Amino acid sequence: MQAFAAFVKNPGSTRFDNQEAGERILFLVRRHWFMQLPRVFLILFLILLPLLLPWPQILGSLVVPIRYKALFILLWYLLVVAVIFESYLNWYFNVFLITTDRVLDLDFWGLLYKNISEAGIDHLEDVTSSQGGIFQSIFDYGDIFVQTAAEKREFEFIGVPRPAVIRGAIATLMGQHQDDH
Amino acid sequence: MTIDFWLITKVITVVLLAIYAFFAFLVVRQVSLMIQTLGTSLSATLKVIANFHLAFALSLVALAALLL
Repeated sequence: MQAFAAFVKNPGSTRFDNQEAGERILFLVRRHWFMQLPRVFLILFLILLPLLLPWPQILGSLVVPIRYKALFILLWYLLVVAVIFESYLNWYFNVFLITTDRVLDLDFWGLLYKNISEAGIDHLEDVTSSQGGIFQSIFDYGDIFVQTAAEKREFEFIGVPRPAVIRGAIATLMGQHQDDH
Repeated sequence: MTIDFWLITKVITVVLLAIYAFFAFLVVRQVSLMIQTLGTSLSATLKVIANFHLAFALSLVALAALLL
């Protein structure tokens, strides 16, 4: 299911800002679902919270009209929906792209901030993947580090699925580029 | 002078809902910005959800102002 895919090979319908003519996205990678579990548990907690609170003790002798109760419940679950939607947007749009020409790291944070880092394949010097621990081994996710030319910083992709496949793909692209020149 | 507890509650509720509606408007802008940066097959759906969310938040402000 494309809406929840964290590892997409050749995403045909995906386009990014400033994509060159003839440039093709080879891989689109998001954080592994296992990395999202704390957020999922937080959302479950928020959904259940109104049912868990001891309302008679909190309200004491205060009699709350039914219309207030209804509106507060509606407001609470609207907030929960907002948390779910924001969490999904942050997961869905924070991606790592490998194209035929470059690697890109698209980061969004807060409501209206974005940061895009990119490096051409010809500027890549080294790519490393790391996987450690029980969960990373079981669910096949880990970290990718891409070292670029000296004046540029390193790209870090934390908690992405199939790191060995991604490392291999970047290494192949680097090799092809060196062969071409 | 007696301060009407429920009137104060109503004003606070309406103000909070108005702030929430502003947040919902920012979410619409955020989704536009994100889609502009990365367009996918889900772009249209996400835009509809964000707009529906804003419409729902605005209708809650009106509902609170009228019913409470």
